[in-house]
Amino acid sequence: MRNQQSDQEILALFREEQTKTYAFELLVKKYEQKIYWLIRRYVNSHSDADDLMQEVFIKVWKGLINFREDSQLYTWLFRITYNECINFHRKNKQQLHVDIDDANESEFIDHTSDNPLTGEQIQRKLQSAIDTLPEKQKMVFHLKYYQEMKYEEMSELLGTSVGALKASFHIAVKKIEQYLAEH
Amino acid sequence: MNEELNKELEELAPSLSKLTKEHFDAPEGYFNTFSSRLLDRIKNEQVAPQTPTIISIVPWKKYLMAASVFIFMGTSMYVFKLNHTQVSVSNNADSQSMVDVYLSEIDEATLIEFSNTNNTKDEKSDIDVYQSYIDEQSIIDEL
Repeated sequence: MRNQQSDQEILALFREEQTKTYAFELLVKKYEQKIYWLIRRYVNSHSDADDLMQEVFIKVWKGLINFREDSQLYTWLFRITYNECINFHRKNKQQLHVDIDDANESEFIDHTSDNPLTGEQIQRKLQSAIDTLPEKQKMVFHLKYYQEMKYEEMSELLGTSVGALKASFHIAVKKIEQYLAEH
Repeated sequence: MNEELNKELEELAPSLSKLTKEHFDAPEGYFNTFSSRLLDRIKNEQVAPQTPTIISIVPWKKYLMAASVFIFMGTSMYVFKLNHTQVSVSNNADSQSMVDVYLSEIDEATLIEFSNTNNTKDEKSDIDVYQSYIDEQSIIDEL
């Protein structure tokens, strides 16, 4: 019942001092799962996803009063989430490179022993391939491949044309395919 | 995976299209407690929403501001006019002194020649006037 509140109703409640916290709780309940799965695919660990979720919603709490409804509320939430994910990735780039190197080493050992890769190893390899992509291609790949989002919806969220998104996804997929073939 | 995406992947990346997507799970009850944990953090850290800055103008301040603007504009105009007059006067004085300097640098012969040239011009003009008078007189005589 609580999740059925419209964005406009939530925003109207948030503008009133007495119902501000209640409105924010409604908003969190409404979007927490969508935001979580978006982050979870991107950061690949629950602990990091939880930290990022909190950072995203604290930014929402701080900035919601200035939200002017020029765009959909989810578009605004998505942009905050997307920026947080990119910042997180930049901060952890060094650590990530170490992880990728470790992953490559273990895969090399498996290849030489002629053993087929396990499901977990394949996923690590795929993750390594995704991590080699530039930020925008990575996000487009995540939204299309994991979230199965339509290009039109993605276009609204990322502020990029459908044609450019299709091209970006195709390039990303080709790069991943090449990485999987070479490693 | 939806059919459209599957077709797209089969064409572009056959290996990737065959992979099964990794399934992630959130810890049990995570979404039941997340909002309350978040609100606790906001409360404990006293995170305040950013309020838009509103500049309120009290009625008497409006008149004070208008008066200030009026006085400023009046003073500016007075100062501008004062400066402008002084500049004109000083410009005239400067011009006169410059003429004196230039004339002192020119020798007398040149000045006389210049004066004669001007006089000739004047004479010519007088002749013209006289000629026109004669013309008129001759017309009258003829009549």
